[in-house]
Amino acid sequence: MEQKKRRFYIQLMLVGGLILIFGGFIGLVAGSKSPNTISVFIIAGFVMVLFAGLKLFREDAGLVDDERVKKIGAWGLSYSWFLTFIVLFLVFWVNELTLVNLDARTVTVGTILLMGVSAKFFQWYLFRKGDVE
Amino acid sequence: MKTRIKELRARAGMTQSDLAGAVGVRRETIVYLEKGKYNPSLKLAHDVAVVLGSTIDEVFLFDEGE
Repeated sequence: MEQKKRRFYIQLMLVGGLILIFGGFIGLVAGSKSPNTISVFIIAGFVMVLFAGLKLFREDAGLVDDERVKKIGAWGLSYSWFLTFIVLFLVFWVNELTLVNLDARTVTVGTILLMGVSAKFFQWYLFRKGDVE
Repeated sequence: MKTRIKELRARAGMTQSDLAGAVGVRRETIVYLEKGKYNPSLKLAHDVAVVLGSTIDEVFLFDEGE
């Protein structure tokens, strides 16, 4: 029952993603006046399809998300969030005191990379350690 | 925390994979449980004890300080 429910949500995500991509391309072909909206539709659609594909692959490969995996995954994300919070706090003061001139693009890209890489690092470390405590 | 999982599992003639499958977790989780490096949820501790035909306090041994 649980697996059926999971499959249903994955299929829903897949169909939703395909609809967004399709809608985006229709808008593109029809010459929509808001290219930003079309980009958001297509990118969001691709992300949804990608996630659905990854989830399906993990299910088929028998990679059960057991309680340890979920716990470490959640703690890894929490540590990453906290690290990013501290870094953004420092970036704010560095910028406020004009020690370094940072543009929005640099900070945004840096934040995206920091969150992704640090989450993976913390999860890798905790998996090796065995538990979060 | 120490556990008697390895001993009880061997007595029951089960592999780590068998036990993992029976309680619905990955084999790695059983490995870390046996080493005493992972604190399981009450549900997992209960499931492991039931599969091994034992009770939680017989399977998981806590030191006084813990």
